[in-house]
Amino acid sequence: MSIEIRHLTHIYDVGTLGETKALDKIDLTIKKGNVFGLVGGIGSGKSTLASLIAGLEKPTGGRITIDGEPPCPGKNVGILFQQPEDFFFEKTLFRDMASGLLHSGLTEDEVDERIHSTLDLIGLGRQILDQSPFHLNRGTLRLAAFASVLAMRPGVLILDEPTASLDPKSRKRMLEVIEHISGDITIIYISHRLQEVVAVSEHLAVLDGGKVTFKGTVPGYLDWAAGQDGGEYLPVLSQVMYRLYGLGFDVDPDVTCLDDAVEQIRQSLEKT
Amino acid sequence: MIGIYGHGRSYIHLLDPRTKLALMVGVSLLIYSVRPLGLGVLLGLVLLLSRTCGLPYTRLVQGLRPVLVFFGVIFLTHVLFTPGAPLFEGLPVPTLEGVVTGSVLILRFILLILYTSIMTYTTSPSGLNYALMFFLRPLGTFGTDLAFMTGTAMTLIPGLFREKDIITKAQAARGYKPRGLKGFTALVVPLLHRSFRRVDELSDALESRCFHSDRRYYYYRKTLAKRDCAGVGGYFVLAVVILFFL
Ligand SMILES: Nc1ncnc2c1ncn2[C@@H]1O[C@H](COP(=O)(O)OP(=O)(O)OP(=O)(O)O)[C@@H](O)[C@H]1O
Ligand SMILES: [Mg+2]
Repeated sequence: MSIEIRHLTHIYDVGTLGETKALDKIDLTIKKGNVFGLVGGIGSGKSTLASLIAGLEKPTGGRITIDGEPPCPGKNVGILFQQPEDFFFEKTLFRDMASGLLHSGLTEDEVDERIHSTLDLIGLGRQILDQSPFHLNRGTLRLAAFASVLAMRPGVLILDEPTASLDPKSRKRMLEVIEHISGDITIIYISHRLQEVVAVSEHLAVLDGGKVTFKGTVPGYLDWAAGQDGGEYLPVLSQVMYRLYGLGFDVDPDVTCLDDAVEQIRQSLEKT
Repeated sequence: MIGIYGHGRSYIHLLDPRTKLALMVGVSLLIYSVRPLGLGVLLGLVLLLSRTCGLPYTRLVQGLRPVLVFFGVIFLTHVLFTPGAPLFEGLPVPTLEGVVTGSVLILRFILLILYTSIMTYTTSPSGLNYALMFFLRPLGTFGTDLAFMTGTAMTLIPGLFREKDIITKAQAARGYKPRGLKGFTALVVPLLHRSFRRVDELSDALESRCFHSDRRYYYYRKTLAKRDCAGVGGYFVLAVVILFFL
């Protein structure tokens, strides 16, 4: 499903002394079946944008449509919260995962099937289903929350820092799963890990103080980031490639995957 | 809403927390003792105060929402059980007296909540805690413990609202809008669970800052300013006017 965001503004605590403008006239179009990366500093408004697209809050100005319809949480859009512990409200993980599915009108057999196949996809053991979400550690909780939203098969899936507090192995698995499900599902990928964002997404937007400071494709983003002062927005791999390119190596600085980068450096060394 | 503090530099914000707490007690006494006309004056005053300290009326009114049912019950009991002149011919209840006493009582409750909202909105939790401690000092260690517990409980109230918000959002994210009794348990069970954990974390945090019940330092030291005297003076003028002239 494609998402249209027009003149979106969001202000928290309007009319009070604590009034905060979290988003300021945002315009974005997110194409169907794409992975759309969203990056930006702390407090730049990423999570606010996420919760507006997820339909959990009403924007104070502008509008969001998903295939022409307003966002309807649990129906056309799903979200993985930045704090996974905020996501659970039932006593066991099974009941938690089932609650949303039963409400969407599936039979109990279908619910079982959905839950088991989703856990298998993510690589979580079934013994986890009987545990209380309040007692799991954060990484497992995040995977479980991911399983919970994914099981609902939403048309749009928002992932707010999905790989934070995961170990390297589960992080790799998470990225593979995202790769696997994109195409059917439009994914919004929010992260501070730039390397992951450029590897997994096709398009990107950068938020700064509630405004969009860049939007475009990944190569376009790398060029933009390389031109910024300090170059903090450049993933480490790209920083290395840009340096090598600057030193006269015959490499493409816009490569985003480690294997490709190694291959290019090898070829370039062979040529000299 | 009670328990939500908003930064600011208004006259009421700048009053010493001790003055505000004392005035709050004074105003509560007034609320319970004045005649209906005096209640009208107090209502006007609270609206004026909320304007001066920058608390929007919508937020002020929101604070009443949680106790609406309670008000309804009190009002109904008065309307149904106060003897007097019937409002409708042929029916023993409701009576005119019942409606009047019920409304006045509820107005008193409403005023109490509104004034408390103003106080908590303009006084930081630590300031309030200090004021409580100051007044409970004559009670010794028990007093400081009591002040500490009340202060901590006050700071946890906004947290409770935030937790409720998070849980409803988590449920909404799964397209789940629980209603009625089922909705109540669906909210309360995780709310209790999360709150207990929050309290647990808070006690760990206190311990990690070397907080012991036998040694306590407060960094809050202030002498009373002219505006505090003005505030107290204003209160006495108000009290005399509405107690004796209205
Ligand atoms: N519930 C809220 N009430 C009031 N202000 C809020 C609320 N949530 C966020 N804000 C404010 O809105 C701004 C944007 O916050 P947001 O959480 O969207 O940033 P973010 O980009 O997700 O940051 P991070 O990288 O830390 O997750 C911040 O200034 C924040 O303080
Ligand atoms: Mg965030």
